[in-house]
Amino acid sequence: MTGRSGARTGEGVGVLPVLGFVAAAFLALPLIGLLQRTPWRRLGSLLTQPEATEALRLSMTVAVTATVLATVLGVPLAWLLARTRFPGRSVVRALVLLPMVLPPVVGGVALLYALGRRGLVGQYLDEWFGIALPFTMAGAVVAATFVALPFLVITVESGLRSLDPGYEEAARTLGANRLVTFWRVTVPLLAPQLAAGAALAFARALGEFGATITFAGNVQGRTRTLPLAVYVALQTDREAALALSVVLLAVSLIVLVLLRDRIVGGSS
Amino acid sequence: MIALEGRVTRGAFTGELDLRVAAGEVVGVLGENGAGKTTLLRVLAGLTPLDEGALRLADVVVDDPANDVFVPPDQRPTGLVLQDPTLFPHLDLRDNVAFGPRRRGVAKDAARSLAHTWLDRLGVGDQARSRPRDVSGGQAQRAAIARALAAEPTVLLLDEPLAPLDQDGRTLVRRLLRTEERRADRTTVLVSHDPVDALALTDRLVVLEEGRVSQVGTPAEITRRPRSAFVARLVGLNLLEGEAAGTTVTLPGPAELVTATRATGAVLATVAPHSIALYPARPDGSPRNTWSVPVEDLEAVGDRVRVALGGPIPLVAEVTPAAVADLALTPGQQVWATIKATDIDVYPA
Repeated sequence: MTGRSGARTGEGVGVLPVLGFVAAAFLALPLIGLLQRTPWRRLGSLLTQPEATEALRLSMTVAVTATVLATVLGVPLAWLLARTRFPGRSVVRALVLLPMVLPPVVGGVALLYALGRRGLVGQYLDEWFGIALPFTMAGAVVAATFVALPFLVITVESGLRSLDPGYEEAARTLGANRLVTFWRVTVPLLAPQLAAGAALAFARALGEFGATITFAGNVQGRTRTLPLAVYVALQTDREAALALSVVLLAVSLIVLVLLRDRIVGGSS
Repeated sequence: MIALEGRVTRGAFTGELDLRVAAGEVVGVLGENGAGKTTLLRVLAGLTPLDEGALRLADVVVDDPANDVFVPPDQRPTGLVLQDPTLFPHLDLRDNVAFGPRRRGVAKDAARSLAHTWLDRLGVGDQARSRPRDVSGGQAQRAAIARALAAEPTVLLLDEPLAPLDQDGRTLVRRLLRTEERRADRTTVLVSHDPVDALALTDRLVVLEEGRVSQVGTPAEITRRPRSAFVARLVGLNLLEGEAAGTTVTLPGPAELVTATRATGAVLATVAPHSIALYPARPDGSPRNTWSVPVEDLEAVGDRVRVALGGPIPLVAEVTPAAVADLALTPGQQVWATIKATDIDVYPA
């Protein structure tokens, strides 16, 4: 018996590591491809071209604004999902996850028919307030918030679920109402999950392409964020595209480092 | 003031809660795990709503599901201390204690100096600026007690509050609860497994069994006539208050107890009923504590018989049914009772 199962394990040992290493190489190869073609010496001048600095600045503004919006809207939603019971809660949870699995282009089309100038709500925004989101930076922020929100909600919700309700109950018995308890006790105790959720949301917002180009368009200085600038540059100036890609890669790595204790280094 | 009559169901547990406590009174709640003690406190604090019935605190209806009344915990006059201190980990001890006064609208500086005063009273003033994770479990519990008291509750709910404390901490908190914090306008409910707390701190005891109140009475009544073996085991202790000088404790009676441990000043002495021996005649080589006393009452509890004794020191002894037969014990009969000095536990009062 022992010999036979040992032989089986032996067979597995041959195939599994090979497949595992193939997968790892598959993930690493594009990075190597990108880095080995990056014009490192000209990186500085490529990134200080007006188109590049504009895209960088715009992307930062859009991603930071989207992260703030996702936090302001996402934390209460996470609280609703984790701490209250209401009819249709499972539907709301599914809605929260939808932007994570929905192709971003479809999200962009959907946003267009909701908040676009002829959209369900957008027509009134235009008619009553003169607000038109497509082809504006605000539109890019809406697109980025749409795709980033789920990351914040699910991270904060899982944090809320693992939080000992005893702290919040103690605050209530000491005279703090729900809102004060939330601000003075829940939010500070959730700081690590909030930071992780915000970092993930920021990374997702920064990289948003499909929904942005579909809903907000590709207007230089207004909606042409870094990913869109990479796409445009790839057809005209490949070195500029590589340089901007390296910036996005660097930001992703920084977010990973910030999160390493929470996700990557979870086992150690 | 507490007036509660209601029902609460949590999964398989159903509590038929019935409790009346006057202002100024301290009530002890006894019961085995799962009897509903914590549920009772949660109902009073507003952390668990009643399913049926009504609850009044200080003459205000705070929970009455039939009439759609529910006052949330922050608007109730209740303060809660649990066995787990649940101090806010992101605040130092001072700001933990200042949390309650701040919610009542006390300005930040005033609330902090109030918090300092409370931490000093609980003997942890020197840790005011420490975070909860940097202090010991006992220090954290002292701060948790300070935090609850600083909010000036008129209904104080304590769930095994002394369990995490060391001996000094227990003495300190017992003294605080017996003296300054025992106020005419405050109602206190104390859940405890510690017989000394149950007997020494409370005016009345409520025994919970399987979600129902099974017995209510003064500590003396319950010690004399525990209705279940569990209660007998828990509080079937003789508790005597007196003045200690060396190994002698003078009791109001007047009578004297000789103890094995030295103490000074006001003390509480406890004697387990099974360590009181009864003899038909004065025993030879008599132990230091020997009295001739009348038998007042006999009651079987489980496989033992509790014998209430009269005389200068009212005591309850516990003997086997066989001993009752051997001694032919009947009410009114004189017997000799003895206690070994080493069987007497002495606590500072």
